[in-house]
Amino acid sequence: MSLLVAERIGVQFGGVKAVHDVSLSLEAGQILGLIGPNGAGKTTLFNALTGFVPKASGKVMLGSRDITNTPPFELPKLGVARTFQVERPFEDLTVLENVMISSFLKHSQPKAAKHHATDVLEKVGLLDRANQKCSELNLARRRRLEIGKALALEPKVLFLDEVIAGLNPPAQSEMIGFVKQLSETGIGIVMVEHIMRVIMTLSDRVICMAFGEKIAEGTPTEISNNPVVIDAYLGGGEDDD
Amino acid sequence: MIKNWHPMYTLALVIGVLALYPMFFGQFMNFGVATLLLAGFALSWDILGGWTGQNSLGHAAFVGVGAYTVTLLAERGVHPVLGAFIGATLSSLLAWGWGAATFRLRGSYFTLSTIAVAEIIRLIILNESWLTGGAEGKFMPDLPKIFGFDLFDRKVEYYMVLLFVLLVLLFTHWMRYSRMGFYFKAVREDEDGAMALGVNPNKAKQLAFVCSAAFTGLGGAMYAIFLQAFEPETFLLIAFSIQVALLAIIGGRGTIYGPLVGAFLIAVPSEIFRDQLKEANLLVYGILIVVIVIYLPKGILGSLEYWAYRKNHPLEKGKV
Repeated sequence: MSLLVAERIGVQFGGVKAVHDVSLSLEAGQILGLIGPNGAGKTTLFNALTGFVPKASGKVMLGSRDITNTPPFELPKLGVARTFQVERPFEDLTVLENVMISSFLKHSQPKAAKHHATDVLEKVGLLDRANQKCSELNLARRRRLEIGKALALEPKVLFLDEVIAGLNPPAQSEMIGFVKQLSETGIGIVMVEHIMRVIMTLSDRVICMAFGEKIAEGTPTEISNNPVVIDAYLGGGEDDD
Repeated sequence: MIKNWHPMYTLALVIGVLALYPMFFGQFMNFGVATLLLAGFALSWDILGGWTGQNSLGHAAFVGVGAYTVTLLAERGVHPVLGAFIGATLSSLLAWGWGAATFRLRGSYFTLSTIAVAEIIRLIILNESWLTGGAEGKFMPDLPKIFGFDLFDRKVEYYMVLLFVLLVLLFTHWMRYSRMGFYFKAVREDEDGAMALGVNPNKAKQLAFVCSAAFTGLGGAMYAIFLQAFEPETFLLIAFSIQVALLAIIGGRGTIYGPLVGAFLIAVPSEIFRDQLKEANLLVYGILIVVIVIYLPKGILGSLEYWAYRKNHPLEKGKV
């Protein structure tokens, strides 16, 4: 059975169909890349799947469980975690406190949560910053913190919204390696990314969206050779980014 | 200074110092009780306002519920201690319903709704005079002594209010390191971000509101005993709610002791200047608030905490 299956998801803002009939499925340990020009509805699809935006139609199954109408704050308990395109650390709290809030999900005792959060910080390489306020972290560290917070929830499915774009090349390579490692531990990852090199090296499968619809799905090689994709995104859309 | 300083030592020190007040300022007991009560209200307000970031300008309603409950029950022969706890319970029930209706509103919309609800409660108390005495208000009947202590003795009242302050402080100390406190702060910083980590923001806010209201109601009951006679205008006006909120904001929100510091820092000068400046006293109060809001936006203790943090974590120059 697939880890996560979304069928014919639709999202509507007033009269605008932001996402129309998009289906996807994800296996454990797999990385599913989501590409498409700006405004294609990638982030909206993320928000719909993670319960932050109401779905006009469609169905989401996590294993055998229907999570279509599960509120966003219930999803982490079921093993679904996400990051935000614009990182959202709790600015006035320290790095450790930020991760502790996630750790509290499975460790209700403050001591256990702190211990767990420390482990996670070590994994994402932020242990030396543990007692610093998040408002003082640079972009690369904020991204790592964002992932750390999602990991502390010990998810089975992880939605990563552009965690690599905007980083400098060494930080990019580091993050690519890290995401790869995560998927090797069995976490199913859905990631939105603009940088084709990243999507091509990381993804097992790629979905390309345009104007709210899925226009193609396949392996990275298939996608990069697909004329529809080239027309909608690779060929014409490059300078939009 | 001291390596293994436990937060409880600070608490013991603060309460210890406050407990000495009646011995040195016995002639200013009215001022002492009133200020300590205001501090207690501000501390209770902070559970919601400082920790979950939901600014209520309607906390006067809970003071009123506590005050009227204990008085009306005392008239019917209910022991004031029991009456105070019933008042606190009614306050928290009110907060529960109030929160359920208004917490879908975020930020300043929630604040506006608290003003509206508090006004509704004031008008109900004003108009249901068969129960509340209406605009004429209420007199506290004679109260039984508790363990031989006269509840109308200012010194007894002072220590009773100190116990109330201690209770709120013990609660915030516990909350600070508990899951609940962390969830409250997450909601204050970013509701969507908190949801993504499994925090139900409405539940967190509701819980904070109920706790905050329960303590405020308890304080309200003590206020009624302290005043002995009161009318709706005494503490049900929005000015009172604003005062409570300001004390907490000036002292430093979410800092545990901030509201206490705020209450004394504002009350002492305004008491001193009251005699010398008469009406201009309010001007001093206003200037103080403006100065603090401009130069110490985190409040007095908040700024001190930040300064201490900055000292331990100096900004790295050149690299971030």
